Amino acid sequence: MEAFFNIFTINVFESAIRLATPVILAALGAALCNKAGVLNLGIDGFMTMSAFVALVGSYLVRNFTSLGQAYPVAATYIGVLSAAVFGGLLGLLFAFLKDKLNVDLVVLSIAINMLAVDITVYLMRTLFHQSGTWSDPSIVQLPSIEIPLISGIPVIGTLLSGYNIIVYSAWIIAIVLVVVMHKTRYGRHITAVGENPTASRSVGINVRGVRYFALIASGVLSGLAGAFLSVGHLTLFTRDMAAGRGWLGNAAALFGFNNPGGSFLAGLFFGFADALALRLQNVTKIPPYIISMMPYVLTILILSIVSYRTILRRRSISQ
Amino acid sequence: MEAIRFDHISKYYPSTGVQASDDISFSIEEGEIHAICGENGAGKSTLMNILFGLEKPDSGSVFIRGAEAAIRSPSDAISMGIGMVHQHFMLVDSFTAAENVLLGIEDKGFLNKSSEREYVRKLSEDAGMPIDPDAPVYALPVGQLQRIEILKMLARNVKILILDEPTAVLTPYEVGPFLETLRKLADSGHTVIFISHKLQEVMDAADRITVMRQGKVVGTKEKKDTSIPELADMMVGRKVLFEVEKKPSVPGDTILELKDVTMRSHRGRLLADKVSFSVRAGEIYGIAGVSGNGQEALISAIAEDASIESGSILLNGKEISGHKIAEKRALGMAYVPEDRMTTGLNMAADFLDNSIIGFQDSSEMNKGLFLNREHITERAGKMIDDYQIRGASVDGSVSALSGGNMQKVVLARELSASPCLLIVDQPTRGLDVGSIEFVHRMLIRERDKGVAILLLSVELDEILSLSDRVGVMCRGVLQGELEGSDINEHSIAMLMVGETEEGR
Repeated sequence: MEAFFNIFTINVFESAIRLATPVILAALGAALCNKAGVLNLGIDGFMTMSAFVALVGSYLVRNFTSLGQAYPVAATYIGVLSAAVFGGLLGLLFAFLKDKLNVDLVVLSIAINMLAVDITVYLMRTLFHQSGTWSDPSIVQLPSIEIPLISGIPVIGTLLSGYNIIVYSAWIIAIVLVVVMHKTRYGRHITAVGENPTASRSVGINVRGVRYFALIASGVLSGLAGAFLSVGHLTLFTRDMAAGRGWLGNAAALFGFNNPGGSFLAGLFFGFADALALRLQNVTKIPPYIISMMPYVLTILILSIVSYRTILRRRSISQ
Repeated sequence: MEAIRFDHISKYYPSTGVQASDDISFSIEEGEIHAICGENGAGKSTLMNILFGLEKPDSGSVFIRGAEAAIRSPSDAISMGIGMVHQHFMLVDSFTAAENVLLGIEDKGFLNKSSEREYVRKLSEDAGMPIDPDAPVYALPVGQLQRIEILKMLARNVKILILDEPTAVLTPYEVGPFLETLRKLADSGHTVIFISHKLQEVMDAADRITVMRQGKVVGTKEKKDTSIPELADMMVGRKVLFEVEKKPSVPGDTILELKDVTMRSHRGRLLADKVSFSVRAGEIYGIAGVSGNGQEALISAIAEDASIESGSILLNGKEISGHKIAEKRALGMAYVPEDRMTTGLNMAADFLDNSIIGFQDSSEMNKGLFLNREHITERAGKMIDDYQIRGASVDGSVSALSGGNMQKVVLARELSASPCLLIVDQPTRGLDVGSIEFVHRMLIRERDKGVAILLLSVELDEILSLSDRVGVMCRGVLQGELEGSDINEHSIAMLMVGETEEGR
């Protein structure tokens, strides 16, 4: 029993916030796409590929430019930036294929997810002659930043300060999205396009523009999420680096009713489940496989609840 | 003062080979209500789409207040003060009324919901069509949705308003107030163009009427100088029989019998309260009533698979309530549902597949494990010939057919198995005069062959001209039954609003 309470230490909360970051970013991107009516199930694949791009980008800048040699940290930041740009380009590709060739986004997503795992392994082998994981000692991890003033406050300082820039970006992006979606015409237009594109077009809303924006933005967010995994949390790339976190993001978006605020909280919740799972592995004798299944079991459970609520809501409308 | 002038407009669709507009010239005066009439496919919608910038004419031009206008898109049209309310509403369901009215023209920067609300409230009250700005659109009745569509245009300072068959979606009881709203708009300086093929409401509402046929303008008439029969002649180019001739019915055995049928909604609301009636072979039994008074529930129990709380529904003496639809059909039931686009036909399938829906399991259609393609094709071809389904081909799609021809496909299929009971729900909704006549003749023909017909219609004229007996529903109760010379507009109307026969 004591072991049970022991797991709820401040460190668990801190690592929960950390681990939740990629899920939160994925969830925000997924929510944006769902709102705009362009289902993006490729986020998990986007993340794996971006993780690779971030690490390779950092490595190249670090070792082959004078800037990287003078400022190793700058190389890592450029790696993160390149992952974000790369993610955005993947989103653009999705939008283009959907818009011009009317490719089914679900089929496209499945293809991208399968491609992501194998192409990164292939590149890792041919470029760096490694098969399972790749890392280079020259690459510097994305540094943690202490926020002045806040970092001095006990407990809150530990909880809110001392993360890297991607964690803070996730928070800021979440807040910006909440404001945009609920308080501006653009947010309203995104929702309108997702729900009734014909009606939106008839009042002069740029439906194509909104869809491109949503897919590209979700790509950028997945890019950041991927970079967090490879240079923010660790400094290595492993096969299938996203390992389902993108899918968790998709689930969190649904759990949060595709609202940015809800998706943020849902992402945080999943992150917490993840951190708790890690912690449980250390303090209990429950087999680790069962524990690492927890977030996914939770996902299925939550999605069932969400869809059941939707059914109930529909029924009450139709009466 | 002239608001709009069409000058030698022509438009040809090469893909379908239809000359949708053929050298059209006429003008619309400012501040008038101008009706454009014509059968389905006469080119009314094409002309309005040209005016609203959705289509480009091949030749000819549009003049707005005397000046030639290049209208390339709906945004162009709106900026010139021309707005259009489409037949299918363009609304975002989860948004409130106010959000829908202002969609696309919201303030830049942060939104101010309370000022939006006040603006829409004032706009709606000034226009004489009050709405609740905070009501979510999914919860509103159709009449309110139409108001929102019109307000959407008014919020964009539109002076010329095009309404594409605005009354098609309204119940007969919403039409009157709606036409009054149009008059108010015209009085406040708006020019209203409304497309319709319902001549009665055209005569009720319009100042002038332009009739179109096969892409051409037949003529423009002042309301005071014309009449419904004249307009009908202009529309179809021949005399129309409004009263379908029919002999007195020769009823036979009871085919369908409802005994004390009681139904409730999921939430326990009483939908049908001890409804009893019977339909005999060789007669048309009409059920009249304002829609939403229990007819829908009854149909769902008789023809579909809704369950009833108590009572019984007998087809040829056999209990069928709660039975599968396939079993009912096997017993000789045929059903023409209210909505031919979603329930009557499968828009994504071709004519061939549509012609066998519901019969796909019968031995006639199958050869061993597979469908008997040869026989089905031959049968479908015969349907097209027998029912003169224009524009249809055996392997073509049904979605391109006009409303009247779609309904013929449904009728042809349902009657192909020689049913003993035919249920028709709003069989002529949205059809043009020619098609209505065809459907009515078909129903009378089947009646004379000895089929028992249950007719549901919210159109009183249809009930009056077809029914041998009439049951009137009001608030889930069969308020009364009328027969023979007792069937008239007044007697039905009294029962519809809940007066009993005795109280008359």
